[in-house]
Amino acid sequence: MIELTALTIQEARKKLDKGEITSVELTEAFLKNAKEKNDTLNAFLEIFDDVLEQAKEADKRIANGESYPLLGIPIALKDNLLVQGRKVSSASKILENYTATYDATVITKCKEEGAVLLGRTNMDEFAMGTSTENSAFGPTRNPIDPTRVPGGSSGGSAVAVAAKMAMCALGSDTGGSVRQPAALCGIVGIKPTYGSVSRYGLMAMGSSLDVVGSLAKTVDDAEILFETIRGWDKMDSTTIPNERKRIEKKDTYVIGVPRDFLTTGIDPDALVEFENALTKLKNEGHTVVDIELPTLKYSLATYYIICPAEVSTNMARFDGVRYGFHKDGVDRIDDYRQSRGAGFGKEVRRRILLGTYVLSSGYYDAFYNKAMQARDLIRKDVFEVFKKVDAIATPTTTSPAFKIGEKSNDPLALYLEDIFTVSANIIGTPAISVPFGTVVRDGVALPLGFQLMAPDLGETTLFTLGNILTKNIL
Amino acid sequence: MNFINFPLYELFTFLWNRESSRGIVNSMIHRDEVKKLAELALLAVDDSELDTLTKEMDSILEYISEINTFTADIKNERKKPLLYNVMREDEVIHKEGEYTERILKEMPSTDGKYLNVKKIL
Repeated sequence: MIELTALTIQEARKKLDKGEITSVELTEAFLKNAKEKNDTLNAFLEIFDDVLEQAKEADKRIANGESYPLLGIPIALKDNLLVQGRKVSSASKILENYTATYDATVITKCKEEGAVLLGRTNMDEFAMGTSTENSAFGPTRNPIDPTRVPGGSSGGSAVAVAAKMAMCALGSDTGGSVRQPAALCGIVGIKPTYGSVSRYGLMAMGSSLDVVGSLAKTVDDAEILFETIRGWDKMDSTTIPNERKRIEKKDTYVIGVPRDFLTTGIDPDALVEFENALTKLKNEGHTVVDIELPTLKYSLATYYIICPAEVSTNMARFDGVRYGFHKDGVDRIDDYRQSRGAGFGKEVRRRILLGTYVLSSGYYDAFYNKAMQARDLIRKDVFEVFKKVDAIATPTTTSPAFKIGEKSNDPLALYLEDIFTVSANIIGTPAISVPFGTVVRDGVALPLGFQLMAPDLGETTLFTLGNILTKNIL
Repeated sequence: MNFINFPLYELFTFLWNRESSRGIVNSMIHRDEVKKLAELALLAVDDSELDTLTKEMDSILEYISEINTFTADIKNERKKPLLYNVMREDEVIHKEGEYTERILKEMPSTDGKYLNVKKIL
């Protein structure tokens, strides 16, 4: 008998369309895994109670001759995407009992194709974190070694896919939140070009950085999901018009490596695997060249100024008055203070305070303005390099998954996790993390991620190179 | 190999050294300022938490202050801003009452179709 949870989306599609399997059978297989493993892994905050009804509905549509890439495919959703009539909390106490009043555009698109929405996955509260330890509902565990973190903030989505509790998953990426957990869980994660996917119905974190991304077992699956959710949306004025030309596929690529950014601070074993990946690309006929990007070293500082600034602004909407958690104070203003103080977790409060600091009149020029200028210059420098190369390669993270609790009392050490991923968000360019190689720690082979970044609308470049890298692996 | 300009090296050295190198005199932020920020941000922060928060914010601020070593001439870089306004007609796009019940259900305290709030004046 075939193992249904091991199928790729394309394989499942063929079998579903031929009537060899039903969506109910496929969904039941994932559901069984999800229910068995969730007590240990805590990937799902909620498994929807109508999953099999959705699958039956998909089977009817298939029987009627309909066929869409995601019709009848079980998919997991990060808990910051709104599905009308269902709970959605961003893993925060402040929205613990909140029910979404409308569908996010990405959800509408999945529903139109007839995807089976399995449930909502755990995450760092409001997507702030790199380990999924900042959830109000407990940490998610890495299925490869449950004593380790799965990465974050889309940790639940990454684990759902890696542990075969879902066929694919949606996440959001503000500074690496799709790519980093994909890397630490050994799956594929794509952060598309800023504005290529609508954010209508995605809870905002850093509005100039956020994008909805996909997580999947294979590069092709990640691409299928991206193709479903992408496109201009009148409900999101930052979406890119559909007529904007995308970068087309080429036969051979030039890949740039910012060597001076990679000489130390990286796990030496991980660096070996990174070099192996570059060798594989060369062996496949592509060119690997060294590039210089001196401004890249300002990426992380720039990110941790812009992001908290936008967080402090976006989180201002939570007041305990109109919706969400409410705690009484002595007067109206104290209601806000008490509701927000008790409703938000530690990292959210820390970023709100940092954002308030960098935006305050006394420090605005020294921090926020300076970061905006650095952002422009980093983008300019990277695009100068993109005149010579098709993609820029780095490891996705400096090391494999770390232990739960290892860094939880050191926020700055956790921020360091983002060092290689934030640049793509600062610039707005697409980036992918594909699994490549492992390092053995405590007797367990832990996966590593290889990251590629392309110019705006260069997703095809990333999928093509990603497929080459994972050939004979995935 | 240029270690001086190296971000990871700097960050790791910084993480290593910060406990010993940071004294009261060099602090970027003090307890009272954190308290003030919390007031501005309408966040109730427990007094017992203030010391840890101050310490954590201090190290983060010290790190992001690296941005002040950035000295490129950027005056003319913002000719074409990345973000721009998208305008649309100011029109009603939803059916009247389409979302009313759903939104009312999420309110912590209501009176019929009204939201209860505390006295403002």
